[in-house]
Amino acid sequence: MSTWFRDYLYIPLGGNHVNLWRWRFNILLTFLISGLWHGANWTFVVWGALHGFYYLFSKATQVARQRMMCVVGFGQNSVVCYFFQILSTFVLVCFAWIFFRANNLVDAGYIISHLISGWEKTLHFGTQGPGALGLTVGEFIFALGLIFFLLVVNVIEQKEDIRGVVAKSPALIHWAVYAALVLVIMNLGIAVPIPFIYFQF
Amino acid sequence: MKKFFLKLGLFFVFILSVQMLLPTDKDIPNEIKLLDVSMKLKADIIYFGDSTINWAAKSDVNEEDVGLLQRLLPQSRVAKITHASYQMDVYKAYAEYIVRKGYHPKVVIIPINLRSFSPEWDKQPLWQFEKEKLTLAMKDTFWMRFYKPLGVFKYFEPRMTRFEYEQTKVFDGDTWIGRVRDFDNASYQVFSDDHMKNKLRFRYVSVNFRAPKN
Repeated sequence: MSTWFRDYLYIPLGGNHVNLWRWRFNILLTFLISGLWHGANWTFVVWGALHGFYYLFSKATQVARQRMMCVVGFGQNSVVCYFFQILSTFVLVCFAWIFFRANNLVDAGYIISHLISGWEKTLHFGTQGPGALGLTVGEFIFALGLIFFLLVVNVIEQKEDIRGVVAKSPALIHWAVYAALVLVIMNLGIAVPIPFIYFQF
Repeated sequence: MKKFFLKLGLFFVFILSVQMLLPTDKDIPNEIKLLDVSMKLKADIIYFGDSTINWAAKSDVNEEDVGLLQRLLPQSRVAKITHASYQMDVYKAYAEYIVRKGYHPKVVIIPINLRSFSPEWDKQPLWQFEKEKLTLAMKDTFWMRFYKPLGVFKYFEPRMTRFEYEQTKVFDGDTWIGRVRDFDNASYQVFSDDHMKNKLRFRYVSVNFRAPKN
């Protein structure tokens, strides 16, 4: 779909072979229409516009952000820089999902205005059973550990092929990894599928 | 080759051994957990039901059924085990579980909701409660050790498909009046006397088998 918008909308509009302001207009319009493609609702228009704005903002601030990273002592390819890129992208995309999922702009506004309230209830873990998140304290810590593990694997995979490393490791280690994987699939797999938000519109 | 199968066998034995040590009751439906707690607390009356037990009309002076029962019988412990769309099949599974556990409540109440016998309810894929029925059947057995993996590998998924449901024949007594798809479809969103008549017939009079003439 993104290539369709590129080939049949963005490029016919002039793509990036135009002056700066016209290019910004092309980007914003392409994202706006890609939002509208998802449904005749202002929420989708805002969702598309947000993505267009994110892109333009990141381009406009790219040099400044790189300089800032150098000033604070982190290189452009440092792990810290990489971590902040992942975190900011995740937060911004999730914020845009609010508009995608909400029934209307009023609902979206309600969700946004309540984003920073009620955390004490959400993060309250019952001593006898799961709290509002549906997890006990132990399960929550375990989930955080798994997320951290995933990030570590992701960082390592940038440099090495983990499957190759496991295959070359001593038999005991790679069989232990296989057993752990089978047990993880058996016990942490999804029994009741929850469709990804994108398939629910 | 022999060595490979030996290794594979050992691998599976290891997996099964670890699996035996893992907790099993995380995904058990809450209603079943509630029944276990009720039995532990020696409930005298076990009151089963569907959503109609949880809701009372604003005009209903009797309020909620279970609360009323508890007030009328203050000496008894009343346990309410309800879920939207529960039907006889599920109550039977619960009753068998109670018997298997050797528990003897004074009373078990099973309300009869006429609509739950209609094909619209009885055959609805979403209301088959396979998970509840299978969980109750396997609870406290060796197979509970594999409860989560069985769920992950879709053992608790409804057997009835939407297509089978829509193909189900609908009878009014011994007269075949159509298939589910003739009654449960989008056109019934439009109000008309005919639609209302057929809806009532489908929901409250019909069954999914031909009734014997005698």
